[in-house]
Amino acid sequence: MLLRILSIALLVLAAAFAQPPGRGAGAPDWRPRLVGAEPGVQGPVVKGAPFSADLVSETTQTLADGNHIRQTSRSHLYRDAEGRTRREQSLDALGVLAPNTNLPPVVFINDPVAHVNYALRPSARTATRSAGRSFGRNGGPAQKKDDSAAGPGRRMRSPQAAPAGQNIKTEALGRQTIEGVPTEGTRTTISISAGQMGNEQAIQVVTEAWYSPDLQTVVLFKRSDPRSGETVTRYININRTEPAHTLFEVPADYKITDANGRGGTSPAK
Amino acid sequence: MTCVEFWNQTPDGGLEASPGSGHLAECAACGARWDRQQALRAGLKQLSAAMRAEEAPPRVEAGLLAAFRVQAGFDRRRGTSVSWVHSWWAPSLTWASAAAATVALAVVLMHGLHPVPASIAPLSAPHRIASPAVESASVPADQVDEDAYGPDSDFIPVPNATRIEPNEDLNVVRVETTRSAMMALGIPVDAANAADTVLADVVLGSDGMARAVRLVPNGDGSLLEE
Repeated sequence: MLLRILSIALLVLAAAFAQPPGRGAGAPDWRPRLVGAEPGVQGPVVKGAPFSADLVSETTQTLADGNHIRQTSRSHLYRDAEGRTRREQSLDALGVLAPNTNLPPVVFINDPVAHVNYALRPSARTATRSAGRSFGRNGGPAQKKDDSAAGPGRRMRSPQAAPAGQNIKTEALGRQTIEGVPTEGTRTTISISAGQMGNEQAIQVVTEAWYSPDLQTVVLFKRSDPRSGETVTRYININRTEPAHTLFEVPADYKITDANGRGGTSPAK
Repeated sequence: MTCVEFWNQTPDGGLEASPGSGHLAECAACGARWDRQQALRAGLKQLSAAMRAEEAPPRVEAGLLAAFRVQAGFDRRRGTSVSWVHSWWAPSLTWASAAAATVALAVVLMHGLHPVPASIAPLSAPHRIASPAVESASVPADQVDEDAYGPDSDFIPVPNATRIEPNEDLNVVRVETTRSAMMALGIPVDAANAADTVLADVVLGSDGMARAVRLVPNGDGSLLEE
């Protein structure tokens, strides 16, 4: 009797909840959604060069049938004199992962002074905190080296020998002022010889980077790769005044959780 | 028709009529075997009819119920009579148990309606990304804090995405999307339920473009804030 009653109760409930109305990917109102965010690794810290700007990245991929895939990503970047950065990132370039969906923006704060990073979700008033991690572990300023293949925010690639079958040619493009900032241009052409990757003909990957010594970053970056398409990333509306300190802090009413060693979150202490 | 062919074509092991019954007139051995099986069939039918009215002795049912109560911990006094089941508080206990199970199931199911499962892998930035054939999108291991990221990252570069530069800022967002979206990115998922939702961690480059993605595996880990 006991088992019978329990079984009936469980079956009735299971049936009631088996088809929840309006939920699931098959429901008409279902949309992809943002569930969480976490700061990852950060580039070298740049001190003494504060600025703020909009960062726009556009990619165009041409398919074999003549079709095109275009994606645009926008973010707003702040950097103070101490090297803290705040990136207000839209999520409109996730492509097939979130088509026709307006995911709420996220904010990533990197504070190398306090050695802590945050990922903020303003829509949920929550933040995920993790220990500061950056490629430049010593926190020293970035150095300008072979930056021809690095885009905005992608500072400095170490000089590397060209892989076998590839021919790399670098040429200076002179100087020009972009968005009110003096820059130096470099074009790099990478030629992948025929047969290197099954290609019948040689493939040329051309990148053009305009580097600002004042900001210590690339403010205009173009890349043309027949495999992945065209990419143009640029800073616009550059403002070189010191951003407000509060921009690099988590608002007091945010609920903060700590990321664990592998990136999971736990309530902040 | 051979004997083997006859028995292979005879359904139900020879207890039903055979399409090749002409063989029985030609083969004495098969005929005798057929007669024995028909006799056995008739005997089984007779036995079944005779036992249809039989029931288990009352003591068997009582014994089973008593054993169940002892095993379930309801009866701490061995040897209690079967009438214990019908005492005044037995129905109360039954319905209380049912209610508790109902509430528990409701909690589980209600939680299940939220797309974030209670047991998911923690969101984590990649320490290493699976390498494509050419121009690897991997982050150099010697430049990444291995202790922070652990050894089991399983991010896959987004097709045709710009490669990750060694010093590039990388951040991660977790989104709920569909299996079909993951399939479109080349992530191996079960195509049988393409419309189901899954959780995916997406690595964003410094330009905000998706660089790599992984299907969030089930496993231990804390729940991200909702």
